[in-house]
Amino acid sequence: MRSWLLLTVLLPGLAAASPGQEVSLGSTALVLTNGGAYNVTAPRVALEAAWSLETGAWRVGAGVRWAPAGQGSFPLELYARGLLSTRVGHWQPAVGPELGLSGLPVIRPPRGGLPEDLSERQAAQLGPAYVALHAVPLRFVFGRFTASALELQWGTSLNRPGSTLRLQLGLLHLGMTL
Amino acid sequence: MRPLFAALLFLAVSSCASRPALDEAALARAGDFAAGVERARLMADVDALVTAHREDTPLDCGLFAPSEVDTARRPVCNLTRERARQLVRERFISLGYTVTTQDVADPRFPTSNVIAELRGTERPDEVVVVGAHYDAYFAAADDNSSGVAAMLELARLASGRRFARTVRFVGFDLEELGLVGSTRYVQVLPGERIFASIVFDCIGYKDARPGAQLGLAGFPIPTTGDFLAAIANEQSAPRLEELYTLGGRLGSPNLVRGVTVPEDGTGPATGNLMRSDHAPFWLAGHSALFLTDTANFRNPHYHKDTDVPATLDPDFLADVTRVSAAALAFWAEGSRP
Repeated sequence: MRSWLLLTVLLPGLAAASPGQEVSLGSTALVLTNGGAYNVTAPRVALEAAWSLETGAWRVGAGVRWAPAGQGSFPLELYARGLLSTRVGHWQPAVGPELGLSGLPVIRPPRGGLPEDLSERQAAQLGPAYVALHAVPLRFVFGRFTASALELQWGTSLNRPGSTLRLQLGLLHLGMTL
Repeated sequence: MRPLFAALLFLAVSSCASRPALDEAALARAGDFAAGVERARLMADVDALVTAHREDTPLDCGLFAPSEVDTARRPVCNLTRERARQLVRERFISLGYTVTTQDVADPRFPTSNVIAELRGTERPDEVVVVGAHYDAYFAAADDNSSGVAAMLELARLASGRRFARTVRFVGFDLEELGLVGSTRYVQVLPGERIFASIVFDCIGYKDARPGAQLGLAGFPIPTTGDFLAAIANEQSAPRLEELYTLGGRLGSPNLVRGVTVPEDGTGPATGNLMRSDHAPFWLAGHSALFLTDTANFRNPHYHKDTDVPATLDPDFLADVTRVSAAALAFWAEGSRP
């Protein structure tokens, strides 16, 4: 909430932002749950590659996350994101929506040979699309290079909003403007 | 977006909340119907079901990989069901019902839900479901012979009576392995108009000592284990309100403690509230009310060989069955001779 307030205060400085493209690499930890017995409860660590374009106050972009131990047959996420950002010296916080498609399963099949009827039914009701609010409170710009830590994301399934919870903690992202 | 996370679950109703005015004649009929509940019959049925489980042969342990299963929580090598199913089926038949089974021929886990139905006289397409799972670990007095006994007692009371809505009793198979029977039941009846459904699972254990009742994170519940937890989704919230009213009319105003979870009841904060056969109903958007003594949050014998009839409270079981019987009569609009 405080980053939102700060962003509001700093909005007049947005126009000073210069356009540019950026590519970044980073790592993130993701929790997906529907509260049920068949969840992957441990955070799933993912590697992330992203591209963004800065246009005035907005930074729009897209990216891909790969969670090699994320379970599922296609442990990838593809996303598009628009972030409203400002800049104070080296500091450039941002916040905005993210829309994506996730191949990471929320529901996993039960282990030990137990029947899969319920888990299959639950999984079938959850589509791959998600919507989230993404906050970048600690992003810093040093010339052509950027560094961001502790990015936060809070979201849910798009087809059944509220049926799942998506929490993501971006650990570290390093980028470079082109 | 619906209010989705843990803090936004509602303790929607409690015994002191204002209640909707209900039709007095219908309440009186429901009370008369419930007055027929007999404690001795209930306990006799619990005893018979426990005997059936004890004399049964457990499910083949080779179906599982016990090293990958938390056998303290799910003692899968001690699951029985065949004789209990036979008992339920024979009882329904002896009460004059036409009994059907919903059989699914799964190669590893075939299931057979036992169904007895009383067709409604005025609105037969609207169904009131009363369900309880008959498979169980060990002797299973509370989990779930208590629930099956309540279902059989309601079936006894309803036998030969007339209701405006269809009344359907369902003995669910393989709840203990992941709500298998109820999931399959709901899947084959996607368009059904379920006016109300109650699912009994563990309804006979009471411990009124302070501290006997363990809490669920986010749910302000008493520390004394002397209440019936009634868990509703938004579709069944009106039924929960009516259950409260009926409990008060039957002289048990503090018996029922209820929780209504948002919308269809599914979501990341409701995991512990979806552990029985109401959950597939919720997933399909149906009205379903889960009635329970809260199982392992109160009963130290849960899923153990010590879950025997002597640990149950017959008066508590009778009170729960009585208010459920009144609810059945009220929702199905009966009973009439």
